[in-house]
Amino acid sequence: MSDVLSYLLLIFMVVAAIAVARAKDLVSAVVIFASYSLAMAIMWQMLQAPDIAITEAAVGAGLTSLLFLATIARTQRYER
Amino acid sequence: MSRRDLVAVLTLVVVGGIMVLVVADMPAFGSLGPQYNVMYEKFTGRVVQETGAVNAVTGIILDYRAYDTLGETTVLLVAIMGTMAALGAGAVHPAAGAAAGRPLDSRILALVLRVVIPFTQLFGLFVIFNGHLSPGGGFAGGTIIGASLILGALVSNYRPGRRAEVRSEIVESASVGWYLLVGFAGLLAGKAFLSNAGVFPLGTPGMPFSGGMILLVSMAVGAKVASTMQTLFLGLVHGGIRHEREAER
Repeated sequence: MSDVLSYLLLIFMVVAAIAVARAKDLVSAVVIFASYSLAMAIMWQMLQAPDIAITEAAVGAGLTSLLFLATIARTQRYER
Repeated sequence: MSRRDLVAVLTLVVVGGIMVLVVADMPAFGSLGPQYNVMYEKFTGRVVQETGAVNAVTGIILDYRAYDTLGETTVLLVAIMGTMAALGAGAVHPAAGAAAGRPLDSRILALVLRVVIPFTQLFGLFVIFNGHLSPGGGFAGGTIIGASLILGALVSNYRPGRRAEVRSEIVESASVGWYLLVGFAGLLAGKAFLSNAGVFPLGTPGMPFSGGMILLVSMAVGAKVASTMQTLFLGLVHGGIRHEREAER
């Protein structure tokens, strides 16, 4: 069961990583990146590393998204 | 396909092939037990009595490796200095700033955040002050508090100005200074810089006030990370570059 879940998460992370690089709309890239971080946080928890899981959830899904959005607000939303 | 593309593809295939070979040569995940790890016994057997921290991860990063963590804290300080210099933070144009500092015009968001923020901050403090007992610690807790501060700046009637930035800068420098002071306490007691056992009372492992230096250092890291996040966000939103560009238009 947990094997299936970890394979699903890993596949999701690979797909999300490619999608982040390919997204032209940077806001959606930020949202995809946050979901990638969430999957990664679950992965850390499954690998019995709760310390890293907390940090990944707080930094990856929370703070970097905010900072990226602030940067997009100051530059431009769409990739040329 | 031009010659440049060919070179790029060839490089990619060679480097990727080497990576696949290396990964294929590694032992299967989890197949090597802890008996192959020399540090395993030290960390699981002695970390509680040597550091007073029940959570071995915090015991390692804030006691055995406290010097590394000091370096990481300093990296944050240097990074924020560089970012602020590049962003031109503090040089806020008063007229252009009013538009940039407008809070988000959403009553739902403001209402929800007003309820959520205090609990978020309480949870952040819990993660910081419970780092030696449960997962978490200064870095994770500081990030949570930093996120709550940013959310607060989004919905409050914050006007761009020097006040919040200056307060954040003071916290930032003071936290690194506090970390150094805790380290120097070891020297004053005749031990090594940043030594814990023998300098600070370790207390009973598992109790809220145990682990000696770990709590003090955790506070410093938490304050540092939280203020770094806030300074970065305020600098990105209110920094000088945008106002200069707007003035040119």
